Amino acid sequence: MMSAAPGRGAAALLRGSQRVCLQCTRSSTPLLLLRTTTPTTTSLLHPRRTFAAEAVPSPIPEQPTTTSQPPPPPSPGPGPSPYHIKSALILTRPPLLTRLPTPFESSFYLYQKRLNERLVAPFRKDYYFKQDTAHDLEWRIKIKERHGVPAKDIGRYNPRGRMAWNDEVLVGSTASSPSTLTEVLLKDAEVRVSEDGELIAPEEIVPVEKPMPRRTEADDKDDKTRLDRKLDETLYLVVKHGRTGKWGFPMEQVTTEEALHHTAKRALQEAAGVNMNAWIVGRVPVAHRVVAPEVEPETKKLVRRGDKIFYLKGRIMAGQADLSGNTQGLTEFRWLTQREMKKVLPEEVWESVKGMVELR
Amino acid sequence: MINLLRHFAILSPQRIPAPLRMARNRYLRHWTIHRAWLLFRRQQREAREKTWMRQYQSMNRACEELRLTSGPGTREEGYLFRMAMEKKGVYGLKGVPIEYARAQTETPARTPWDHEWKRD
Repeated sequence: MMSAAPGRGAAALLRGSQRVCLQCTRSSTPLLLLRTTTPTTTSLLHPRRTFAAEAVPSPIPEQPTTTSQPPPPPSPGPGPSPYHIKSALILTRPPLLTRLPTPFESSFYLYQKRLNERLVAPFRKDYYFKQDTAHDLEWRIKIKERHGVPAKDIGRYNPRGRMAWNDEVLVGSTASSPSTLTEVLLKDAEVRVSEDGELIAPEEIVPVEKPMPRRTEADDKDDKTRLDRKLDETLYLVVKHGRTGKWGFPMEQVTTEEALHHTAKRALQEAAGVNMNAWIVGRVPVAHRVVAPEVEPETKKLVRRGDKIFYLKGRIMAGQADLSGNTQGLTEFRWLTQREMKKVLPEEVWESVKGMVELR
Repeated sequence: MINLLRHFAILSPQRIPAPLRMARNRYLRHWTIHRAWLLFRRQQREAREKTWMRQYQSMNRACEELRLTSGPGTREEGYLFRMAMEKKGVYGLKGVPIEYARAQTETPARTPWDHEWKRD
């Protein structure tokens, strides 16, 4: 059974490429066989599968109109090529924020911090605060409020007292949540003693500036054209074609003078303007999609050429897309996370690009 | 000036706490937490590796298709593939823009994104 698949693969390889690369022509048969047992064969059988493991090759399913399979009749002789070669750019905004820790992670960190406090050498106050300075006075006030514990972020717990064994947090406690920790640390950072060593009255204490919230205005308004939304996820630029009403990526046909990354850059500029600090990551396509050409069954005449679309990946670091004056007939653009993108894109497009999306 | 005697007095074995001692149930809880942490780390790592493999496979299949593609126009087969494999300008000072070195933070900047950036 296995002998059939490599044979078919080798035939397809030879048919699809009259000019095999130099290495293959020089090498003897075993290498050619080895090459054909690599994922090429399995991807022939299963165009939509993203993994290549299969023990027994299953029969070839009926061919849909859209497929990643290199089709049989590319006539390398004279006549027009049956494909348009296109290059598209998937412009992404990397996540700006770290992932929010899970409740398990935060409680585990608190647990470890408390265990650590049980094991470390005592805090050396004299090393950090000179006797009877303003800083020393402030330290004394704050350590008294923390019941004599130098650590600020372990909640109400004394690792050196009689109850040192009681270091476990009860269910429902908020001591380990990131918001509580932020509050505690901000409160602790307030200046309580003036430079002259005088106590500042409670109403005159200047509160410390808070860090910005992780949820932005664009998140609240659900404005999908802004780039400051969903800061802890990757955003992808998708554009809407006015003619077909379908969502997709900025795309252009590759001309004879260009390589893929030149075309991708041009496609982005023609679609979304130049006011973006964008960078194309490498020159290698990260995904591809093949739309099979339409051929008349009897005469084998080409009715409509197919498409080979190669997707490149870009990163945006500043700026915003601007569709005014685009030459591709685009009407709208959105910055979407991968889940939102999956809902919006046509299924065949999503199936072909889903291999390149990030973890978050 | 640090008082050396005090310094060593603080670090003397009498001031350093004894190793942790846990009773049976407490130790079982500790062990469970430890195993849960290892499991969590493992799930994270496997999800990450799965993503990398998926992305690699996607690139690999795209490159294979590119290698068997002739064109654009009258270009011979594999022309675009060779152009894509070229490493000119990839290494060196201008290879990767400096903005790419921005690290992720826990909270955003005052202005999370510069929408008004213009190319001069």
